[in-house]
Amino acid sequence: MILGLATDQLLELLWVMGIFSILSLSLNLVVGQAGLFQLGHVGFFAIGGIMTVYGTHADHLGLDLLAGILLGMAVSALCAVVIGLPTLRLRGDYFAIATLGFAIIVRVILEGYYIQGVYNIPPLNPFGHPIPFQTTVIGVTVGWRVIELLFVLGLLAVVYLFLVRLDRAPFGRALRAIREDEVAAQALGKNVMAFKLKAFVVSAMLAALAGSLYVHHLRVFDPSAYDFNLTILILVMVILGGLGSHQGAVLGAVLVTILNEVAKQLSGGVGHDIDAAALNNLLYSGLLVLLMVVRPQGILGDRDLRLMDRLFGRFRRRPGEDG
Amino acid sequence: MSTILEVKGLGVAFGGVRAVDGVSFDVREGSITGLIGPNGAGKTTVFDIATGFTRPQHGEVRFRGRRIDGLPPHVIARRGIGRTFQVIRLMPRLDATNNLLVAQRDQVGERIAGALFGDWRRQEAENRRTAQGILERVDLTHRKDVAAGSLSYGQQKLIEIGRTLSLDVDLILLDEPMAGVNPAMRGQILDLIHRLNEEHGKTFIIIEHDIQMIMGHSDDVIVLDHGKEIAQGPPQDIQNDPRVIEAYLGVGHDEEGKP
Repeated sequence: MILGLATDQLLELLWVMGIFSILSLSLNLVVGQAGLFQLGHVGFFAIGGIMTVYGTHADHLGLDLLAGILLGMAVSALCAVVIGLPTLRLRGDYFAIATLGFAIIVRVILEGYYIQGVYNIPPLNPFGHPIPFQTTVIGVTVGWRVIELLFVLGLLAVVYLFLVRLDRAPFGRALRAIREDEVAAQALGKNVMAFKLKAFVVSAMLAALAGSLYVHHLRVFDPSAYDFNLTILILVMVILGGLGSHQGAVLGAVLVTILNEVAKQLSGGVGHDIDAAALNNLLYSGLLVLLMVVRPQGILGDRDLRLMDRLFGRFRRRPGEDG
Repeated sequence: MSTILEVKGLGVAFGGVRAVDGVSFDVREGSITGLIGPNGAGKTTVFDIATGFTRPQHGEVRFRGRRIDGLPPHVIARRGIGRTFQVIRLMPRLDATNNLLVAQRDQVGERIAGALFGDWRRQEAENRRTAQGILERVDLTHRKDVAAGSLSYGQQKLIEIGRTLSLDVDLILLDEPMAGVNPAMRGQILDLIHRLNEEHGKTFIIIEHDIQMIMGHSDDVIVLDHGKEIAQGPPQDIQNDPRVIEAYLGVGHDEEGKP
């Protein structure tokens, strides 16, 4: 028991942190590194969710979990190409509005088809053999949830390392250069459109991955959950941690999850005087205002702390970073 | 000497304004060519067309005999035309070294697969040595780790020129390289241009308002006025050309506006 949370609740909290971390890391690639103000990330999160449901649900294709996840990522990538080709040519605010529109269209379509939600979604079970879910034996329930959590955290680690590796390579430097000055980057022979599209597609695929994990864990798909508030929530995570910083994205996801939980605990649950959602909004807006005043670049700024390098006494700067 | 850039009947209008209206000129390979003219004559627009940022409505641009008008900027840059901008365009938060590194061609690590699995570090080390050399040439080795946005104005201009060296182009278009730069730094920039021209065979086209500077340092001068080229030739001919004097000083007009 920590802070009055049962083990189950704690596992759930860690799990949400894992999913949100993947989500904010993926948004950071586009917003933080490439400097594209994307407001439609939740659309790809939803596409990943519904496509894996379509792929794995017994009423539809009935594929394996892994196939479902890959289907979600593939469809999301395809959508990103279709959306990205026309909209990535737009400048700043117009791109933000266009992607926001995309997310709303996705939600409206999904609500049209699945207004009641989808139930009985196969569990997040990477091993494929049946696991007793409905068991009342606490030990078994906890045991399985730990495996599920480790699976998500393992994927989070892979996503993190993947994005850091991209960022430290010349690819990351080119993205940052485009963020700094698109015209100059073109004059230096960089195919700006291609770089933006690559970042956009990779980001959409990772959002779809998070979306798949999310629905397989909840085992319910509710289209109304993918609303504008969730878009803002992901954006808050990235901005809070520091645009462009991977550690910042994870830190932001962790902080926002804790904040959500605090709001829930403070409001005392359903049926009490204080509305948890309203309290949440109050906390976020307060935090963002405070951030803008005290530390506009976010907690970590636009870089990662080089803990490993410091520990081992190596000093290696990544390309695209000033001294 | 052969022609490196050939501009023929170039025309573009923005709304009703004919920014460039039938401009033709040739630039000789290995020359320093001055492009001058009063404000609004269309000088920068010619640069924008030659580097792909503006699409011409009439005429053609040939680089080493191949048509380049209408190609996207990054393709033209890779063909071998580099430029600087009237308002400096560096990546302010990248350091001086990385501003040069980012301009390097064919980087393995710029592709996703290359970044993840490729051996880009060896190429990067080589590119760093090249960047080091360029920093030495522009005399900014001591500022290599400084964010470009924190460099002095003149130093930023030098890095911007250095970046075209990093891109390794044959033709370099400089849009007002001397504007707002202190006299000492002007000398340094001029020196750099001459050294690159003589030792490395780089061709320069320079837009500049400082007529003395242009007349003293270019091999050829092209004069634009109201979107048309009105004179073209060696500086001494240009200086005495009545059309040029008219464009710069104007002629007497009577009250009806007739000369």
